[in-house]
Amino acid sequence: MKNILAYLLPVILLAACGRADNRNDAASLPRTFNFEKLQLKTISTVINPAKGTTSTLYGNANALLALRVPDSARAGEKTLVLVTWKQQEDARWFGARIPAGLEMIEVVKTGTAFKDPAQAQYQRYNEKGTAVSATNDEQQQRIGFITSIKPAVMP
Amino acid sequence: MRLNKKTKIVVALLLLAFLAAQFYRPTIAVEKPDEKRLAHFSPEVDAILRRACFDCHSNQTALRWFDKITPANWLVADHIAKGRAVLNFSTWNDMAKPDRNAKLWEAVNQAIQGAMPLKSYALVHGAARLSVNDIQVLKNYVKELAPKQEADTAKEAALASQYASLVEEKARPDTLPADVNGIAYIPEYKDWTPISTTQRVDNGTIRIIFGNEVAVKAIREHHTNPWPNGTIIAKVAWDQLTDKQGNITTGAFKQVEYMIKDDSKYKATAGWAWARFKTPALVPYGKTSTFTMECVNCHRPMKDNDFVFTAPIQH
Ligand code: HEC
Ligand code: HEC
Repeated sequence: MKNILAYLLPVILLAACGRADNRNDAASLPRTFNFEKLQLKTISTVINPAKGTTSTLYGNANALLALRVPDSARAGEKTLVLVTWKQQEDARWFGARIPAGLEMIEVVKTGTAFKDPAQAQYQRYNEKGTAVSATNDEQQQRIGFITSIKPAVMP
Repeated sequence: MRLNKKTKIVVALLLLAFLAAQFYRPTIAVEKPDEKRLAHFSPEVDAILRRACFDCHSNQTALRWFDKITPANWLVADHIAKGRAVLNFSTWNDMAKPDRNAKLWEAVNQAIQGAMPLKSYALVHGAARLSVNDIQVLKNYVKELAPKQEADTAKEAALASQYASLVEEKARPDTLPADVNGIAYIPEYKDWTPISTTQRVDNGTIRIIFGNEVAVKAIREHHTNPWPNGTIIAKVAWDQLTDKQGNITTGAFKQVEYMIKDDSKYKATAGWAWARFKTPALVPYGKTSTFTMECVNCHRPMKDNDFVFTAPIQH
């Protein structure tokens, strides 16, 4: 009897309080990263099929304009944030792949042009929002990749 | 139990009414298949669809005796009329190939989610119920229809031409377009928070889904089922563009779609307004106001999730 109740209780609670809330919790960004405060624009999204990851690139207005015209030497601070998730099959639509657990967040900042990667600063955060280190080579390689992403066409 | 005279008369009258009603029946047209227009996939897939879907989604309806009894037949006729109107395998080849592929993926997804065949029908038509193996056969078949993911110069050129007009800011029309239902294009979506992304293997697109402020607040407060009135969800779709390293990114812009929540104003369409604008010229989709039934029908398997597929990510 106790067992039955244990099974039934969540069902009863669900029925009483309405339907289950709909969120992708594993993919959500750590509060400590304070994404909202950065007030970034969405630039594009990139999938790495070999690694099974999906990333979305965000940046301040300055960074977005600089990426759109690659050779422009726009003055002012540019911030790019690339958030990467593991991919999973969408249980709700056969044929779709959606973000699963958060993998990492990378931040690139520069005051000069993006084509000058040596001037840019790079910082990586893990899925908990804790800063983690990356070798110099890795940093240069990632800065090169992140600053080469073309903004998506959004009319 | 012995019935008194009054009861006997009532029963007799009811029986008579029931018999008389049998003469009053809907007409359900059944035609010989036109082979040129009829859907043919693989023998296994054909067998499954004929068994589970053809009664309502073809002109070759094969009704059982119990389907023909009034009043059941009126319900059956209604299902058939509605079913044929949205999906008819007898006229399948009238559709263009990309539309056929999209419809088949949709059909398989409705079957996977248990939304089709209709539950009330499957209850009495045991043979129509789909087994785990049936579902697997359908999945394997549509998987082969998915576009190959590879570098494609035509797609690169399509993006390049959109890009040129974007940088010159001449792509967007001067006034904001609105569709047949009066829903206008909302340019602000790109400043909203992205709540998820999708790679659509089925149709070779890549998408970002944005939520407006109301949506973002609802996500933060765990109030996403149902979503509050004022929520707007925008979904932007691009071609998948594969680069030399094999990464997939956004190619040419295809369309933006909106779902706008107002459970009283849009009660007839599941509590949401539905709108779609295609190409950078933002051409409104839908010739008549009922085009939204297409949206609602495909989203229907998510009815316990407020008709929303996306599980939103809190940023
Ligand atoms: C008893 C009748 C019936 C059967 C059997 C049936 N359907 Fe349906 N189907 C309907 C009706 C009615 C609709 C219209 C939407 C609604 O009312 O739910 C529909 C809608 C659909 C749609 C949405 C089409 C659109 O674009 O709006 C798809 C896809 C679909 N059915 C697939 C299937 C598949 C696949 C099967 C077999 C596995 C099947 N149906 C079996 C009655 C049926
Ligand atoms: C063939 C099935 C199908 C049809 C038809 C369809 N949708 Fe969707 N829609 C989906 C799927 C699957 C998703 C989630 C996956 C994705 O992001 O592509 C989705 C997602 C959406 C979203 C993001 C919110 C959510 O539910 O996840 C919006 C907005 C949307 N659709 C609008 C529309 C509009 C407007 C129409 C009609 C003009 C429409 N859809 C027709 C399948 C469909």
